[in-house]
Amino acid sequence: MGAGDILFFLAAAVSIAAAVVAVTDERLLHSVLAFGVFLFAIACAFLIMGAEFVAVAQIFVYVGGVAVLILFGVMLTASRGAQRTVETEHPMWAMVCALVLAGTLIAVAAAYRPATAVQSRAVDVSLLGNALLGPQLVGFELIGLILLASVIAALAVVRREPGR
Amino acid sequence: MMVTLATSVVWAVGLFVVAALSVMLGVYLERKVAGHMQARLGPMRTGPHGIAQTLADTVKLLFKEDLIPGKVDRLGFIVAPLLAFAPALMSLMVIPYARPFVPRDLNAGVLYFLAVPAIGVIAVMVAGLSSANNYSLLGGLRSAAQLISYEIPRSLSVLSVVMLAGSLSTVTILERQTHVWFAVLTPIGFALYIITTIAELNRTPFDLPEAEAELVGGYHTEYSGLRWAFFMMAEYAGFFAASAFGAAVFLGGGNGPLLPPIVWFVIKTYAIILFMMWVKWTVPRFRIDQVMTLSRKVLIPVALLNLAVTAVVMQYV
Amino acid sequence: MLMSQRDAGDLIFILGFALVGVAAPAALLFIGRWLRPSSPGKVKMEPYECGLPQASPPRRLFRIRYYAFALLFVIFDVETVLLFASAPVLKRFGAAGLWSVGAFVALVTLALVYAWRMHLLEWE
Repeated sequence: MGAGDILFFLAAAVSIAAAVVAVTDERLLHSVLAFGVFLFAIACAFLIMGAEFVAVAQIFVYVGGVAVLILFGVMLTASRGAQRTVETEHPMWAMVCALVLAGTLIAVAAAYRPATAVQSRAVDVSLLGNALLGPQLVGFELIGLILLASVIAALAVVRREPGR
Repeated sequence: MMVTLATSVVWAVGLFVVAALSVMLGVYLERKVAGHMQARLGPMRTGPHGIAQTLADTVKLLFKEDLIPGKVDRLGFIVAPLLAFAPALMSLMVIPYARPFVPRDLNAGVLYFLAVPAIGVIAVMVAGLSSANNYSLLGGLRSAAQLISYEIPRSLSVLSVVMLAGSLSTVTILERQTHVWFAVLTPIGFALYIITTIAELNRTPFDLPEAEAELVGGYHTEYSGLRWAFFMMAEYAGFFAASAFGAAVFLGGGNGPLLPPIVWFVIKTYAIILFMMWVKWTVPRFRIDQVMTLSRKVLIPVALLNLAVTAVVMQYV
Repeated sequence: MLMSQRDAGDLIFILGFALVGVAAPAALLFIGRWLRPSSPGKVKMEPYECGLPQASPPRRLFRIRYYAFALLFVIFDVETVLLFASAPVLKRFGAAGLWSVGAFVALVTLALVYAWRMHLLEWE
């Protein structure tokens, strides 16, 4: 059990704990903070597994963008003492869906066998760049297209309100 | 593992001291520069030429009552200043001080340096949200909106250097500047970096979130004493970090004839710091709509154009 | 051992710095506890509004502009990260690389232009 292994399991444990808090805590602010911790723990896990760039990108995009976006949402809509109410009209169906999803994820994860032995070297940053501009070029451009589509779609929702 | 942890903590504490000292020096310089530019002397009483002024202020803040207003969200209120300061310290980890004497050379160092202030944005918002005060909320929103708007052009400006150097590692970027500074190869990129950094630091002309006439104290209205001081420390430590990073990445860090690298590094860093102070005390403040449109309609297109130009230049370098 | 030794070191460094970044100010606060006075009073507990009693309870404010800006920001964030991935190796791909990245940037610039034309970049 090397240092890396201990850290990985630590990161995993923290991320699970943070996720549980994020989902169950009644105060929205605490929930969002826990979400931020969750994202950071995932980034740490990425780092230990050798994906340096992805780890840093996770901080840049998820903590810097998504968490901020959610906080904006909270700040713009929450009344004082932002409580969360968990209400659904179909608790049984929600439970079924959640169980099915969890089961599927676990089954997929358990069946995964890596094609080659797990590397113990870090993935060099340039490898990613080489892939993006080389073999995965179509994917790269497709991402650009998806980003464009996302902007149009997202702003279409915003457009209906004339800013007031 | 323990050795690495110990090494990192030693580095971190050492850099904390450096950061604290640079904050004290920064605040002192700010007041002196402001004074002289306004045809007055600035602090003169505490110590020779007022050198001990910031120290005195810090001691005073230590003795202030810790006031936590009744209706605040305690977790958020207490965590926010810590969340604001930690990224400033963390960003110091990848800066190559004096060829290349760097705490840790991350392969993705540049992106790390740009990503870590994102945590600071969260801190600002949490401070505004948990303060149970309309003005704090509004100030937090405005400040956060400004911060995220300028993160993109800032990242794009540094991207041009990454292209030229072919690496995301700060040490490699430093080493590639032995013949010519990257500021020379991509002057627009450098100018963009300075402008966007001034905005990211909430300094005039972009300091509307702190405009006293409008928003009292913005997101840190309800903070007093030491907790408020942490926000200040975060700002000035970030100031130092950003200037040091700019000196390393654009101005060639410790490279230079005759003088030892550390001296060159300090000279270049403080050249940037003093330039930003000069701007602060000369230029009037922008309106919030000017600030926001500047980043979207002017700086991002200019940054993208700069990238295109630099990409072409790069093929011939 | 599964994990890379070097990256464990990287992470340890980052966590070490984060730890000191949080602990050092906290320690200062702790030291201050003995030095500080403590005299709580009712007026002190009220939110600060230039010394006047609170004019309005913290209320909702809904300016969708802020949210739209944040949305746009996330999109451009992703674009920036991808550019950072491709930038270091750009030189190796020569003209072809320039065209590839150029196409990508053009697509996202289209998004910016769209937002601009729809007057979504204006502030007040």
